[in-house]
Amino acid sequence: MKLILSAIAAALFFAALPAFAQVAPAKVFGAYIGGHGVWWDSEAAGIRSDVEAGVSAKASLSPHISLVGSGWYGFKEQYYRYAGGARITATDVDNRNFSIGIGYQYRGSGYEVLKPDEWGPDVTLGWRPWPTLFPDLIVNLQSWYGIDTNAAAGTAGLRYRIPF
Amino acid sequence: MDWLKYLSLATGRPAAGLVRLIEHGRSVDPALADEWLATLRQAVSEENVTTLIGALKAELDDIRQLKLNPRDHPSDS
Repeated sequence: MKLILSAIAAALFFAALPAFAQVAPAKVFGAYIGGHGVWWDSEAAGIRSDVEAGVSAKASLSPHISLVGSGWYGFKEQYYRYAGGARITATDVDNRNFSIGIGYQYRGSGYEVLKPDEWGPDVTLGWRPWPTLFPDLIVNLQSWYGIDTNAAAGTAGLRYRIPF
Repeated sequence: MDWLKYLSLATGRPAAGLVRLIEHGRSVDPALADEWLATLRQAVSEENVTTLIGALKAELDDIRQLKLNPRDHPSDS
């Protein structure tokens, strides 16, 4: 599954290279560092909550459609996990300070308690509380649902856009 | 306020309900499924579901033709 996903991602990237040449890469791509609290519902295997830090990245392809990915490290249980997929923005696409996206991502981990790796829908809320003073600071809330495990989880934390 | 109903989506219940509805069909509680679907439908009503789907189709065509039109969404963080 990981090999297939990697191949699809690579094919999309190389197929889109000519288009990226017509649009400033900084408008398409974005990368963030951040941290958050994470909570799993009672159906998840062993972990109920943790504190995670990591990075996330996006490629905005159209006003509503984006590709997203992220990697996180859990400090309390010492695990890593990752996620990647697509997201549709359901709110005003021209509002830079508040939006909600509905996505579908593959979530995996090298940590046995977080297995199995699985696909699932997610809902993400992003908010820039101080767009003038701190334009790169974002409050991020996310919840998702694992199709195989029938378990829900959610995070609440902050992101900081990495300038490039 | 509109953003309050969007916040309700962040609980994950609507997404969970939709998946259960798809997976189990009639075995899901119809009233609960209706509630979740109504919440989802309401959440995107600002732009209208039909308008949103139309926009997505047009945007997918643009992407296929490699015409990118990016936006800066805080929820993509």
